[in-house]
Parts: sequence; structure tokens; C-alpha cells
Amino acid sequence: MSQTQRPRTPKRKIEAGLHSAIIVNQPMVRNFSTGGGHSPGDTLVEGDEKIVTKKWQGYPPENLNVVGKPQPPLAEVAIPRYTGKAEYATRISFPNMLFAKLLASPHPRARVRKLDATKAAQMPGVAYILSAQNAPKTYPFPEELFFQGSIVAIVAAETEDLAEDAVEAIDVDYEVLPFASSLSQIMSGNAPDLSQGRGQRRGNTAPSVVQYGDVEKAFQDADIIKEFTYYYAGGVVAPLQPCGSVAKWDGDKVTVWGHGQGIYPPRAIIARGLGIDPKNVRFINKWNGGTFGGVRQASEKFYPWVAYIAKMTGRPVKLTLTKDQELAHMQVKPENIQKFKVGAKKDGRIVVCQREYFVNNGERSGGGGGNGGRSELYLHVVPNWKEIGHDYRTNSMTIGASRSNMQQEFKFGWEQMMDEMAEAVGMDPVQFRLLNVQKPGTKVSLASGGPTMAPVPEIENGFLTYDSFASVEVMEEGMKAIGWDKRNSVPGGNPGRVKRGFGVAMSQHHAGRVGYHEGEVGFERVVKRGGADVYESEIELNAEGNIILRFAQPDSGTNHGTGIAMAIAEILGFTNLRHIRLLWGDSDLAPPAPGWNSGLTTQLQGGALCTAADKLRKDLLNRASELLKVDIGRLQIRDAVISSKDDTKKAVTFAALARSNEGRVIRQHASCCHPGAIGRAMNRGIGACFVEVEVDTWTGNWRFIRAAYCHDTGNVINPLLAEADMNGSLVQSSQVATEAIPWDREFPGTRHFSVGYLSYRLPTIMDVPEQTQVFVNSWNPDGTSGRKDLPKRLSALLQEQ
Amino acid sequence: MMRYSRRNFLKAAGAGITLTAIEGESLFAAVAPPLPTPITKERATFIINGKPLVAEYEARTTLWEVIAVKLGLTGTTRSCNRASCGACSVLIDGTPFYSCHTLAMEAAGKKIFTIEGLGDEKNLHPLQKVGYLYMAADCGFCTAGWSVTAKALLDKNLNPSADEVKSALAGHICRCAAYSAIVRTVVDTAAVLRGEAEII
Repeated sequence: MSQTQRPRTPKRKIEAGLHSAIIVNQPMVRNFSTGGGHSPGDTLVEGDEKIVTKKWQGYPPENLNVVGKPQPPLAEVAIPRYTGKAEYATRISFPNMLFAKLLASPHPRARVRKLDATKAAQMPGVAYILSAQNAPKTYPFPEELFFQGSIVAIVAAETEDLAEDAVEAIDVDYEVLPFASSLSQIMSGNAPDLSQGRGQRRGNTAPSVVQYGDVEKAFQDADIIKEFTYYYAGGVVAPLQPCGSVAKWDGDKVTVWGHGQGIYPPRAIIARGLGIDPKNVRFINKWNGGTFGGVRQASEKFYPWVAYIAKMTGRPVKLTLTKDQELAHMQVKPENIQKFKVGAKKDGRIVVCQREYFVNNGERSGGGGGNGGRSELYLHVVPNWKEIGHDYRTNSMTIGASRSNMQQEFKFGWEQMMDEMAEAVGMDPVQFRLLNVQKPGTKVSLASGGPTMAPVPEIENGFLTYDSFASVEVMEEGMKAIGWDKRNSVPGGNPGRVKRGFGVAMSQHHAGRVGYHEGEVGFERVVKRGGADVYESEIELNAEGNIILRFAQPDSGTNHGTGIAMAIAEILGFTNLRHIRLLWGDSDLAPPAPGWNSGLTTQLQGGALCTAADKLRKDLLNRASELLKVDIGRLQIRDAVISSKDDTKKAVTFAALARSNEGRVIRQHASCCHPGAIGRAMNRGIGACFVEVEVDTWTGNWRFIRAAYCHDTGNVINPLLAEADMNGSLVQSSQVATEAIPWDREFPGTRHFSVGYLSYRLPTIMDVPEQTQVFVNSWNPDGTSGRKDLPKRLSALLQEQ
Repeated sequence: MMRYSRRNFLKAAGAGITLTAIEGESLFAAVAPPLPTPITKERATFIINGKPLVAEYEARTTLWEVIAVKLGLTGTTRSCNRASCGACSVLIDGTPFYSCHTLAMEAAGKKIFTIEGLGDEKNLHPLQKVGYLYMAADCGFCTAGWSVTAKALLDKNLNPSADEVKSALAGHICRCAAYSAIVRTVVDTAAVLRGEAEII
């Protein structure tokens, strides 16, 4: 047969779809007798005051057209990433722009006795040198250089090279002070007092003690008591986009392009730093090359100085930190030690736990070690608990959110303890966890709930009740996906030098914290209390029939705008996203909102937009009813057409309604606030990560073979984005769990990066395991269409067995 | 403390040459005092994405700075500035180079290919279309770099295996870890270019 006669093979179709994800839908209606939202009906009745709210936020997860279908992110956000046109701050450029470079302290602790920039100022191309001597009084330089990398001066010049030449020519006489950077140094007998005279020589803040139940008696009654100590060396996120900013003045107004997780908080910092009205600051941050929680600070603290230099020189100024400087200023996961004393009964039930933790707080004074991450430990069925926390101020970098808030670094110790206790009581680690984890129906008191639990309207008799919480299902589905029954249960039991083994870890996350929407009792109370984080949003319908969503949050690859757009498409009766556009990340275009954090974006910023969309829907139905002379109850909406259910010829388009309005646009505004606490129906997320690893028992080298990563997500809005996000989560988590912060080995005891990425084993394309994402849909009754917020990078730490 | 950087590398190399010539030993050249600060002026033509573009720069200026700052082609991102992450990759005469550690003068007169040459929003290359459908970019900061390296691979091998794609892209760090989607993107783009698959 000749080639022309050969039948053609049909071309394979390339389309968006899931690669290796599994979605497990739980029964739509469940009743855990919790008073929560899984009973039949469309209302939630909660708390002592029997507060009534609309279940599913009024939009039930039935007959959905958009939510739950995999689709790529909205083109206006995603396509520029592939064409090189996404406007990261580092891509902003102006013809007459100056380039700023830092002079950073080489000492862990010092003061500047004298700084002479005379020679540097005369060097070619130098336009401005900012130091403590001429910094704005409203935003001074630090008096004491408290960690290696602290800022000493900023030089602006015609090119980066010329700026760096001048930085090197600045003559600084440092008064080097005694320092303690690591836990071992600050806990030693001769550590300097870094507590600003307020604390003790050791443990430079007073220990925090939390206790409930009768710990002493419980230890007397326990059958098995074990003690464990774990050390975590710290972690850092290392995003690809270098931290930095660009500032440009037009008259009295400055525009700053930055890098972080919000636009209004940095705008306020710039205004305060320069002593100007916030109205004269425009802050733009649409795309980020990764933020991972830790980046914000490393860009933010420099904004006022960069804007100040731009003002003084009358030229745009760009600052890009070098990697070692950036890593010195980013928030890190703190080094910590955790000591456990645990008592259990013979059947495996943990009856008492005492935890003592020691946290390297970095430059931060006072408490701040995230309270040892207690609110994120799944400890709520442990009846007797004592905790002693020690926070140490040290000459080290700032700690804080860094690949999520300060939790994984403490979960690490918790999960190690759970494995060792399972072995001590002779139980399978999965069964041991299932016995000791909270389940739907578990009641939690304010005392046992952890530091983020506070009185909320949904509390009943002093307790909140776990409701939508798939702790059992994530374990069972994970066991199936990894093939847990095939594992050798004897640690190290496989023959040979190179062994393979299975491990498991769980991870609870607070992202089930649903915001309070405008009109809800909780909203009014939180706002009235003052200091609430209120997310505002605006939605508009224009004369072309397009829906424009205006919101503040920058995109870091999170694609939250697409997830929110999908929920809104559902509310407004669309079957696709073709008519939805986003305006985001620009304080001149978007209404005020705090920054995003902790995977709460689609719940809080999205909550505000969904409420605005709900208002718009009602508004449009009212207008259509009046125009078509049809009762609202007899109207239907589909793809921007409102028509009578009884006579589809009676119809009007969204565009026509907009055109008939004054200004040819219809707008709605709405707000949603952070609850300020864990609350509502305790519908947190929980995850379980099952892994298979290979270990060379001679060298300790290891290889990540495969993983089953299970998440309690509620109704997944966009499985394609969720899968992509969790694939990244898995790889990042493995790095955070296994690679310590690369301390400076040249100067032991100081904690900085002499060579940036080269000293940190960042996972490459060669390190990726085979992975299966499992999304357990536990139907969050408080979320629109049953969704929870899938925290970006829900992190379960890996363990090797 | 000696910091590894392009500047220090260049200084050490410069000092090393001098010392080697005098003493034949330059182990400690890396801690040589800074060079004085002459501003040299170079001028050259670069054939970027098929267009001849002229730039003026110092002898020590990197190719990245010429492309992204002097010539305004900001699509090429610079991340580590230490030749270890691959974000700043461009093709020089068809071969991937880290532009943050390539001196501009090394590339003068040569054919340079950047992300802007791959395709724009009105005319996306299959690599960009498939990447978009497969979520091969989360934050997108590394995308310009691995995309041009993938283009170089596909120019030479229109049927790469997953392992060959991994080997080709091993010098690119993606902190969002979209690695598995990137591998599938390159393998399936090859299928599209071979005419065996079509993008929906």
C-alpha cells in the first residue's frame, strides 16, 4: 500500500484536563447531629443565639455549569506569563530610570560609628546616596543593625554596576556588638541580652504556658509514657522573582510597582513613610513571580526609601535585591526545638500530652513563634494538655509566614511524635492517627482550640463543633491510592542497602475559616468590634454585556481571580467565562482590601465579590421584571439573557439592561470580613500525604518515588488549577521538610546566604515524584456552592520510614 | 566575607589573569582588591529575534542587561544572577545560555532568540498554547527561560522522550514546581509540531 493510500490516524486532541487527580464526592447531604449545615434544608442554624444563615451561601452545589469543571485560568492573567508580558515589578522599565543597590551590614549585630560616602558620591553615574544621615525622619534607617544583611545605605546610579561600584566605595566604621543568632547560641550561658532589658538572660521573653485538663493525674493514669525531642533547622521559600520595586513621581503623586500579597497595606506604608496622603500613592502589583507568604516584607520595607530617592532625584528608581540580600530580608520558617512527653492507654488513645517548644524568633521581639503552631495541630481529642513556649529574640532574620503561616515547622515534630507513639503502642501509623484525630461531631472549647480560636456567634455552650471535616476520608483514600496494604510495616524491614518504604503525615489547615458576608450577624459584630480586615469589591456590567470584577489582590500564580470568576459565573447564570473580565492589583482601579494570606483569598476577597454578584443578579432580575412585566419568580438567567420561563420570547440581554442605565454601566459593591478567629461550623481543611521513598542506608541519600496527596477541599472550583497548585505544594513541602536554611558556613553562627541558590538544594525537574492528587469533597455548608478554600500549598510533611 | 557573584567572578578572573602572568599562581585571586572603576564604551549590533539592534554598553555588561534594560526586551527575566536558576536563558545561535552570566560582548553580532521571538498573544507558538492548557506556568517567572530552551530542544529533536525533556530542562528552576506539566507540555508540543496532535 502506498503512503497516500494509508488510512490516516486521527490526531490526538490536546485540551485542558486533569492529569492524575481523583475527586471523591461525599454524599451531598449528611447529618452529623452537629447543628451544622449538613442537615436537609437551605439554612444553617448555629450557636447559642440560633443564628440563621443561608446554606451554600444561597447557591447550592447542584446543576452547576462552571464550578467543578477543569479549565485554564483567564487569559488576561495567564497568557502574559507565556509571552513574557506579565508585568512583574522587575519588568517595569523607564528610559531615564536610576538603579538602586544596597549596602548591607556584614555583621550579625553592629552599629555604624561613622559612614563616609564622599568618595562614592563622586564616582561615575552616581545620582543619590541614602543612609541614616539623610533618610527621611518619617522613615529612618535602623539604629542598631540587628542581623547580617541589615540596611546601611542605598545608592542610586545610572546602571546597576555603577551603583554597586559606589556601594563598595562607601567607607563604614562598624561597632561590632556581641551577638547570638542560633538557638544554641542564645540558649547558652554566655548569650548577650537581646531582650531590650525586658526579659531574662535565657529565654528572653517570659515563657507562655497553656494548660487544660488534669495533666498530672492523666500521666499517673497512662499505660505508656514516652518522651521525644525534635529539632527543625528552619526553612525559606526562595521565590524566583527578586524582591524589589520601582517608584515614579508625577507631580505630587507617586506610583510604586511592588511585589507581595496585597496593594492597600503597602500603599499605607508608603504614605506613612513619606508623610503624605495615601491618595497620592498609587500602588500596582498585578503579577508576582512567586510570593509564598515570605516575600512581602523583603520588598515592602524598602518602598518608602525607593520612593524617597525617586522624589529627591526627580527620576524613576528601581531597586532589585540580590539573592543573598533578599534571603536576609524575607520571612523564614523559624528554627525550633520541640520536646514532647506523651501518655497513652494500651488501646492507643493519647490521654495526655505535654509540649515544650523553643523558637528562634529572629529580630522580632516578644512572642511571635506562632505559638508553636498549636492552632494547626490536630490535638482536639487530647483531653489533657500542657504547653510551655519559649521565644528567643536573636540576631537573625525575621520569622513569619513562609510557605504558609508558622505551622509546618511545628507539625514536623508533631507528626514525628505520632509515628513514634504509634510504634510504642504497636499500632499502624494510619490507625493510630485515625484514633487520635478529631472527626465531624468533635467538640472543641476555647481553651483547647488554640490561639486563633475566639468567641464567635456560632459557639454553643462554650463549644464549636467540627462539621465538614474529612479526616477519615483523606486517610482512607490515601491508603487506597498509595497501596498502603503492600507496605512492609517493619521500619527498615526491607533487605539490602537501598531500601524503599512508605510514610504518612497529616496536616490540618485553618483555611475553612469562612468570612462573614455583608448582612450577616457575624459581619456586623466583627466590624463593630473595630480593626476588622474588610475586603471590598466591585462588580460591573458594561454595555457590551461583559462582567468586570474589580478587586485588589495581586496574582502570584494563585489564579484566584479565575476561581472567583467561576463562582460568579455560576451566580450570574453563565455557562462559561467568556464574558468575565478582571481588573486587579492596582489601587487606582480596585476598591480597598487587606492583603491575602493563608489560602483565604477565594473565601474573603471572593466572598465580597460573590456578595456583589448576588446583589447584581437581584438588581438585574428586578430591572428585567419591570421591563418585561414578568414576575421575578418566573424569570430565568442563562448566558447573559434574562427570559420568562413561560415565554422565552420575552427576554432581555444583560447588555441591553446596561445600555438602558444611566452611564451605560450597572455596578454593585460588597464587602466580606475576616472572622478574626476560627469559627462558623469548624469546617477546616485537613490533608494526608502518603509517600514512597528510597533511602541509601549507607549514605543517607534519598529519592522521592511517588506520593498520594489527599486534601479535604470541599467542592473544588477548578480541578485543573487545584491539581497544578497541589503538585507544586508537594514538591515545595518536600524541600521545606528536608532542606534546612543554608547557614553561612564561612562564619559559623551567623545565618546568611553567601551564595544564594547555589547553597540551597532547590528541587529541579529531576526531583519530581510520580504523584496523585486526591480531592475529597466534604461539601462546606458555609461556602458558595459548597466550596472550601484550598490553601495554596496545603503542606503535609514527608516522613521516611 | 566573599560573596559569589558575577561582579566578583569578573574581578577574580581579571586579577587572576594578572597574577598568573606574574607568579603562575592565583588561588587567592578571589579576594583581590576591587578593580578601579573605568567606564568602557562598547557598541555592537545584536540580531535579536531576527532584527538587528544596536546597543551601547560597558565591557563588563551582561547580555541580560543589554537585552532587558538597554534594548527594552523585558520578557527575559533575571532571577538568581548567579547562573544557577535558568530564568534568564536565551538562545545564542540556537544554543541556550544563561544571559545573566554571558557578557554582552560574547554575543555581539550573533543571533539571539528570546521569549518575544516565540510568539505573542495574537500568534502563540504551540509551546505557549499547550503550556496554557496544561498549567505549565503558575507564577510564570521561569517560563520565558525554559520556553526558549524547550524551543532549542524541539528544533533539534521533534520527538523527545520525557527523560530527554527533563535532561534538557534540568538547568531551570521552577519554584512553583510545575515540572510535571512542563514535561507534558514539551512532549505534546512535539506531537503537535509533528502533526500527530491538535490543540482544541
